[in-house]
Amino acid sequence: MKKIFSIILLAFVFAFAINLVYADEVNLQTDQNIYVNSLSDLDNYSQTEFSLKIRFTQLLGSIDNKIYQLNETINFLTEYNLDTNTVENKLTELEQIKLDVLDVLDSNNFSKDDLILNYVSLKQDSQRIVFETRDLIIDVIPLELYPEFKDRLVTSNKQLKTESQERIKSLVKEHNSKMKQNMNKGFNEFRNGFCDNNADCFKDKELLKYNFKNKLLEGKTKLNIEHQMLVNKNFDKLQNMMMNRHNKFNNGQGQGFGGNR
Amino acid sequence: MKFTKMILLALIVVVAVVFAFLLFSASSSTQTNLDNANFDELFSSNEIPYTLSEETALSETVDIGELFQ
Repeated sequence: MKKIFSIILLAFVFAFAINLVYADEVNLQTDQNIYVNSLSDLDNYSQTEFSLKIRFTQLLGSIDNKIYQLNETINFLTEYNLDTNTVENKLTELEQIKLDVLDVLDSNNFSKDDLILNYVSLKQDSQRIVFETRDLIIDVIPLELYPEFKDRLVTSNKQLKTESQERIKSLVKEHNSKMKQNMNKGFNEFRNGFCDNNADCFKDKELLKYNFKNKLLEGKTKLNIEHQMLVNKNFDKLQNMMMNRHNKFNNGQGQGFGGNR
Repeated sequence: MKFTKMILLALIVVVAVVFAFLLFSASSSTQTNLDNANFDELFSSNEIPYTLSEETALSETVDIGELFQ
């Protein structure tokens, strides 16, 4: 009897352990996909450090917009004597992400790979905060006030701040200049190789142009695969970045940062 | 007879020189074509691959979700 009981107990423990491992794997898989999905944002912006920073500036614009909306939400909650604490915490968290985005934008020490990893991490964290705040808002605001609250949010200004617009204009110029330089160099190398093997290239410049564009497309596909591999390879690093940010936020709350509203 | 042979030889030499000149000029014109096919000639400034327009960069946003739907 004792033996049977111990076998059943062992089976339970074993099943529980397998379940834990499996559940953990499923979560990891989901998170990894979210990071990889964010890469599609970088399709037209992954060629140079400058274009990647354009994406960061656009992310900054979206965060600014949400910070404005959260301030509006807090004003709304205060007007109706509703609890603002939870939403204020989320606002502080989003302001911290904004500071991290600005750190990246103001620094010249990030390689292209670092920029890509930081982008997917900061975007994922911003999304998480917005989703969590949405649930909080639904809990705090009574149903009858929804239409009025919605109107308040709709009027928010989605236009980029002037400094962000100027930053984007300057980054576009730097990106285009670097691309022209790279393309010129790449084209000369390609032309020499291609014309050695294709006598027609001497007569038909359109053929040369067409083949060069195809070669670039091949390069872009390769680059996208490399970025996916980069994210998959650095999944632990991405998780650590998120954890560090979270810890920084928790410690910062104790020290009073983010209270500059 | 000797004179005829010399004329023939001279003719062969002239033909060879002309042929060599033609060959040389053909290859150098090919080289000119190749040199002419430079990047600026093939791609105007607004069709350089992977460049960005200010307008697009200023109008695109990053979707981080909505606070209320």
